[in-house]
Amino acid sequence: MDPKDKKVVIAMSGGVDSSLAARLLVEQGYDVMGVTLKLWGYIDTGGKPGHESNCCSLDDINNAKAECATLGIPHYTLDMSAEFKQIVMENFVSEYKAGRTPNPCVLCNTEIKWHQLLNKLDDLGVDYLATGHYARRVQHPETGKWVIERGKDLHKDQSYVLWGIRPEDLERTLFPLGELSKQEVRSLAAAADMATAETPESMEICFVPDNDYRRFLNEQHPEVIEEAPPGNFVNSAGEIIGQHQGIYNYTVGQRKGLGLATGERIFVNKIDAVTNTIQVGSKSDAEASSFLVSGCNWLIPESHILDQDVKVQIRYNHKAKPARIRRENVEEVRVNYLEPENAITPGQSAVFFLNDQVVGGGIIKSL
Amino acid sequence: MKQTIYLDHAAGTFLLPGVSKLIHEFADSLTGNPSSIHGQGRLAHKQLDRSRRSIAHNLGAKHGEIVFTSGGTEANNLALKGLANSPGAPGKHIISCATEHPSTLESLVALERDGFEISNLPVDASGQIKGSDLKQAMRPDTALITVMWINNETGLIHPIEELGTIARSAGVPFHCDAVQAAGHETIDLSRLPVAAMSFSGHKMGAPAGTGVLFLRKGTALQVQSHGGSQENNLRGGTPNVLGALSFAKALEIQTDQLLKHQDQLIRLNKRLQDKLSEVPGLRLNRQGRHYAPHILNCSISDVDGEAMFIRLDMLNIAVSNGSACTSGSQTPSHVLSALGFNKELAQATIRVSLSYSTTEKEIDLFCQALAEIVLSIKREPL
Repeated sequence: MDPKDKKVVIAMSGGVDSSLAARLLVEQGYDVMGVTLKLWGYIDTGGKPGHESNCCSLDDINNAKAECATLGIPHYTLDMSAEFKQIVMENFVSEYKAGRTPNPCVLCNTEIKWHQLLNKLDDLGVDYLATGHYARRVQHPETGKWVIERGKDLHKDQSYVLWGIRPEDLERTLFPLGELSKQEVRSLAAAADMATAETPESMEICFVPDNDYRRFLNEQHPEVIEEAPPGNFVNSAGEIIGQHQGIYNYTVGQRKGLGLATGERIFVNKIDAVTNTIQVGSKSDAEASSFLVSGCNWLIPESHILDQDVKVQIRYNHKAKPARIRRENVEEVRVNYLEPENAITPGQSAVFFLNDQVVGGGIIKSL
Repeated sequence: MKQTIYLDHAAGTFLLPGVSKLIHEFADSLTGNPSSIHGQGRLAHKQLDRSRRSIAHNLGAKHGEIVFTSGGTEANNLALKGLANSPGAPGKHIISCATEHPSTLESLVALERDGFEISNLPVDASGQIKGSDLKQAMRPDTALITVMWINNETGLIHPIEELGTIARSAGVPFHCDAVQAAGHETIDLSRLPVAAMSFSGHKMGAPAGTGVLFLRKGTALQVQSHGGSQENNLRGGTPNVLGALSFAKALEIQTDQLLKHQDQLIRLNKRLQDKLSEVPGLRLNRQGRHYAPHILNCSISDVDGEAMFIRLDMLNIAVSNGSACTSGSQTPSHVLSALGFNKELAQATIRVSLSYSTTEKEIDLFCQALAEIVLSIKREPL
C-alpha cells in the first residue's frame, strides 16, 4: 500500500499519544486529517465549573487543532454527543441499575470511535481510522483475518479495551503507536517540540472526571437511586448481616466502604438486583472458575477459538489466565478457567486471547 | 493545492488594495504616541485626527462623534453598557431582539446580572421585527433600545429608520449594530435617527482589530475602559493609529464605490440563487425582499451537515455553517434557533457571503461542488 494514496483520519483527544500518532502518520506519508470527537459536556453531566476533565474540553480541542496546524493537516471537531449519550451513557446507567459494573470505554470504542465514526467517515472518502492506542494490528496466520496484538509497551498495552471492534472496522484501522513505549512517545514528542508532550495521563471515565460515579448517578440519574433502595448484606449462608445503601454503590471484589464490622476482611461477592441483596464473604468465597459471557465479538471465526487452549482476561489490570471457552447457547458462551479466578465482575469485559493476540471478547453476564 | 474559493466575506473580508498600500506606506513612520508632547506624538495625532475627520465625513457625522475601538464587539459592549449605565437613564429596562450578534446578547446578559430587565422583540419566521411591537414594548423606564441593521447570519435588513424614529420620539437612546451594513448600505448619520452605531473594520476591507462607535453629540455614556482621557474621555488606552487610518481608508473606498459594488453584489447574488436552485434538497432561508445582497443563507435536507462542510473544506471552499461551533458542539446558532430550525437542519445550513470581488466562476464552481457533494452524501429521508 502506498501511503500517499491513502486518506487517514486520526482521532485526536488533545493528548500526547494521539498527537504523536498524527505526526507519525504524516511522516509516513499518509494523507492525514485530524478529528476530535465532542462526546459530552462536563457541565451538562453535572460537573463543577472550573474542573474540566482532560477530555472533550475546549482546551483539548484547541490542543488537537494546534498540533494539526503545526503538521499542516486539517482538523475538524465532530459532535457525536447525541450518539454518546444514547449508547454509552444510557448503558452506563442501566448497568449500574442492574447491579453490574460497566466499562463505558469499551462500549465507546466499539460503537462510537469505531463504528459510528467510520460510518461518518465513509461520507468523506476516508480509507483508514487511526488512534493513539497502544496496540498492534496483525494478521491471523491461518485465516488471514486482522487480530489485535498487545502493544509493545506492556505497561501501557490497551488491547483489552479494543476487543469489540467489528472485524470489518478493524480492517480499516491503524495503530501508529503499537511498536512504541510511552517513554519513547514522550521523548519523540519532546524532540519534535510538540506542545502536547507533557499532557497528563487520563485515567478516569471521561464523563465522570472526578472519578465519583456515585455523584454522577446521584445528580444525573436520581431514578437509579430511587429504584435501588437500601437492602440487605448477606453472608454465604444467606444470613442477613447488615444493610447496604443501594446496589449501585457496590462492585464485585470491593472491600472498602461496606460499613460492616465482622472482624475479618470481607469482600462483595455477588450483587443480586432482583432480590436487592449483596452477598459478602472472604476472598476465597469470591473465587470462581466458570462464568457466562454474552454480546461476543469474534475477530476470527469462533471455531478457531472455542474448545481451544486460550487465555481470558477479565479486568483491565488483570493478567490473562488459561481457560477453555464453549458455546452455552445461541447468545452466550461459557468460560472455564483452569484455576479459580478472583472477582469475576458482571458488566466487565472478558477478552479472549489466542497466542497472546486478542481474537474476541464479550461482556461477563453472570457466574 | 486547489485554488481557494472564499465565500465567507461576512466573517472577514480581504484587505482592500488601497488599504494594504496605505499600511505599507505608514507601517514604519507611526512610532509616536498620539498623546505625547513631542513631534512624533504630534505626527501620530495628526493622522488619528485625519482618520477621524474622514470617517465622520463619510458617515455624515461630526468628528467628535467618532470613537475608535478594537472592533465591533468592543463598540457594542461600550455602547450597551455605557448607555444603559449613563447617569441620566430613566430606568433599567432595555429592548432588543433574540437574533442580535452574540456581542450584543452577551452584553445584555451581563447587564441583566446587574439588575437590568431585557425585553426581546418578537420575530416572525424570517426574523423580522415590527415597529408596532417596539411601541408596545416601550415603558417609562426604558433606558435603551438596540437592534442590528443587517443580520449577520441571514442577511435580513431590519427597518432601522422606522425603529429609530419611534425611539427618538419617545426620547429613548437607540443603538444600532451596523457591522454588516457598513460598505453595503448608504449611511447618513445626519439623517438617521440613531444615538449610537457600531462598526467593524475587517468586514469592509480594513484589518481585524479596528472598529468605531458613533456616539451622537449630547448622548451620555459611562466609560467602560478606564485609564486615560483618549477618545474624548470615552475610551482609555493608546489608540491604534495605523488601524484608524486603515479603517478610514476602507470606509472612504467603500463609500466611493458603493453603488458600483451594490450593483455587482445584486448580480452575483442572483446568479448564486439561480445556481443553488440546482442543488438537490436545498432551500433558501429568505422570505420577501429585505435582504442584503452580500449574504445568502440556505439549508439542505437529509444530509450530514458535518460531512458536507468537511467535504467543502477539502475542496478549499470557505463558507460558514449554521452552528455555534466554538466549543465543538453542533448546537444550532441562536439565530437559527429563534427561527425555529431543528438541530439536523441547522447543521446543514450554509451562510454564503460575497464580496464585490467575487467572480461568477467562483459561484459556479461552488454550486457545482456543493451539488456533487450533496448527491454523494444524501440520505434517504427517514
